[in-house]
Amino acid sequence: MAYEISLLIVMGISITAGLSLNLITGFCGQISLGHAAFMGIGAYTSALMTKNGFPFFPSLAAGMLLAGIAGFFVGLSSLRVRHDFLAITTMGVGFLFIGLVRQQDALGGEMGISGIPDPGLGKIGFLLLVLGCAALVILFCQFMKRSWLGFSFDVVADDEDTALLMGLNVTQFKLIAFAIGTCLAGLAGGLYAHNVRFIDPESFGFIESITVLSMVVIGGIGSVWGVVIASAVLSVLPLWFQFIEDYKLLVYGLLLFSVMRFSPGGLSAIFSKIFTRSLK
Amino acid sequence: MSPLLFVDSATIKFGGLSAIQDITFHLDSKELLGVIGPNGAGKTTLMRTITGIYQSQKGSIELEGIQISNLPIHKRVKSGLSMSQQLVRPFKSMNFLDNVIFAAGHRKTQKPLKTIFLKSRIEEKQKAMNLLEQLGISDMALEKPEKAPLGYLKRLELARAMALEPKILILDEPLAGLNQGEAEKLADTLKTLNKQGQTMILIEHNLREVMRICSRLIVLNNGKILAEGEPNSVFKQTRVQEAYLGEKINAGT
Amino acid sequence: MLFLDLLIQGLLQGSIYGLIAVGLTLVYGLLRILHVAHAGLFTLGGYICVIVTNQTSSFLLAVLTSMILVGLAGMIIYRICYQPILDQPPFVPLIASIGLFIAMEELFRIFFGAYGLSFTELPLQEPLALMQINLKQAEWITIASSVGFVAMLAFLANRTKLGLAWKATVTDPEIASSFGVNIIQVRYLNFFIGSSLAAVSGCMMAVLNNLVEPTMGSVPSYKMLAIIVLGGLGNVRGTLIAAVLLGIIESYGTIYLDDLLDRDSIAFVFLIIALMIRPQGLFQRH
Repeated sequence: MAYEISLLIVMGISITAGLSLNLITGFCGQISLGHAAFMGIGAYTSALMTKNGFPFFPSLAAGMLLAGIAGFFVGLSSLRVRHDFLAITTMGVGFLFIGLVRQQDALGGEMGISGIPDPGLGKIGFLLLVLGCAALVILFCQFMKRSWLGFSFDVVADDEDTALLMGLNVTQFKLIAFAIGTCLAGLAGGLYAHNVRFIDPESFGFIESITVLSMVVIGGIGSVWGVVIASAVLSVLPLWFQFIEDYKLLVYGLLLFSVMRFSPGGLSAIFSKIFTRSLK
Repeated sequence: MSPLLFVDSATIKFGGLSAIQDITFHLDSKELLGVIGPNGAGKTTLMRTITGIYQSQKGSIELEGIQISNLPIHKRVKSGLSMSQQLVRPFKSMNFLDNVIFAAGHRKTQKPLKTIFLKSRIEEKQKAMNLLEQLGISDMALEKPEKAPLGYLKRLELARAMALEPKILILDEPLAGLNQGEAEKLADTLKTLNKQGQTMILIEHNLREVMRICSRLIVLNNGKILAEGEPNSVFKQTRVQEAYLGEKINAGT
Repeated sequence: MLFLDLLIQGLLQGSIYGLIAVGLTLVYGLLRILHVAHAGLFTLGGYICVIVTNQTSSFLLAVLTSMILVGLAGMIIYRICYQPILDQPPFVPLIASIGLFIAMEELFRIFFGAYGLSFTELPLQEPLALMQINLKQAEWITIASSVGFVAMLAFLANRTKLGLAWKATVTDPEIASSFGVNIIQVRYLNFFIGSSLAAVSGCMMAVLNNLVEPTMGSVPSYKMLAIIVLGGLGNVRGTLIAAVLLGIIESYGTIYLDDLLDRDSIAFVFLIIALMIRPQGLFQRH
């Protein structure tokens, strides 16, 4: 039972993380290769706070807030650069984050932070919290997709220049996407830190960013359910099949490559193709 | 009373070459102003300067007596300019109807933070459908733009610009890509719109339709205003004839 | 003498960066693809070099073999991975490339072990003093090959028919093909040359460290991206200058910035500052 619970916790955190990036990259079309940094900000903030005696929930909220603020400022870069350049810039932000954390003793440096206190909710309680968060994020994304905010994100993702001619303040929409997306990444990070109860810079490195990105891309950029399924499956695959653990990165790498090469729309594109075909 | 739009000494240089130079003109409310001229005369550049895609290096642009030269594109659109572009740029990920619905919701998207609480598209959908019908492209409403012929995309571009309910509708060659029958029909639609009170600037190569529907013409050549006035009198001027004949001779060689 | 030592170390590191980055910038110049898997080819080059040297005890032969094989591998990657998705938005080939690179790293680990390979007898270790600077042969060769290959590339591009065809294709593929340039051939050649240069770089890295390991490409993979952006994407000379400057700055940074930031992040500080000031890169094309 304990094993199933920890699987579900990992799944729930991944879904939150996957959807948080999907908001920025999928909905609003702004690619980010440094998303793990924002999970890191949420994780470090909340972990340091609970370790210093602050209660769990305010610490979690502080982590979200700080990640969101950082995301807002990183989002400013998307006003200067686009596409490939934005990808490289956000990747740079990711490396800068771990580069800074590594050298700061106050943040645990290379060794990371261990002994993060238990949130005191019990195993089941924590599971419910994580799944509740994931469910809320799913609902939020669905709600947003159907609102005029989601509609505007679609337009920004489609063609920024023409969006301006529709009278859209593209700048503000991009910043909103970055702020909300990174804030939710901070939530995922905080939950992660209090689940594993140990964090180090490597937990939020480039590979982690790519892992989250692969959930979005494999699920289908912009699709809520595709990303939910991909996040859930990809996060627990290595735990289910012990033999994959050793080849986890190989599988990730090949999956990322194959999906982009053969179906850039991801799982959701494959499903909708099968679905429309079976209707005909 | 000041004119609706006043453009003063609009000048754009690309790497030392002037695309347009010291262009000054005005536009009165409810006018249908035609802008014509040979290829490369600077017509599109001028319109892009008015909408803010390019920044004029000189002079000023006033809408209803208010300076708009320093405003970014989206604010100029909000203050009442909208443009249908010569090169069509539909949102490829959405169908015809959604393209127009989005433009029709321009009031809803003004305050980004509030947009998350706005869901209903009923009103905009109705408005968009009416526009598609008015322009004769409602049969494609649920199709994605990638499959559509150019004539449809041109009218989609126009429908979006109209959906923004502008004070001034700027149309960059809306008739191009349409056959003569379609062009005539669309020109009639534009004329009707104008009669209903819509102010318009029309860039067009189809001189027959321009002569038919425009109340006033500006002729551009080499980035400058060559002639201005009532259509028939403009074409009586020898320099206008030369500019056009010159183009024909060039095109023949 | 610390000052001079750091300068030379920086120059060496910069030369390695330069050789990899030039190949990457060539690919970007032609296809607008951020070819992250290029760093995988760099690693492959290092592995081939160590294996062939250990088998034949000829370092020169090893470098040549490595250049040819890696060049071919680059062409295969273009054909299988990039050509079919060139019409997709830029993030598609970028993510595909990242996936490919991760898979390549894992394959090196699975085939050759996590701890890497070393030379049984390390070549080019004799000291050689030039202009009162005392370095190992291998170190001199690294610097010389980076300058030499880039000069050769410049010569090829400006003085030969093939080079002119390449330049024409970079500027405007449509016009080039209307003048009878075979664009597909140019692309293959582009990948061959770029990948061979990465192989040379991998070989030199192998000798300098007496080690090739699966992850030797991971730091270059992203740092190269920073360098080619700083160098003005597609600009060979700018890229080399950016690479050498970065090598030198990092070399001093390790001493003076260590409390604040680790070495591998320095490139990105410059990258982010540079992009925010000049979104088109430091050295503009043309």
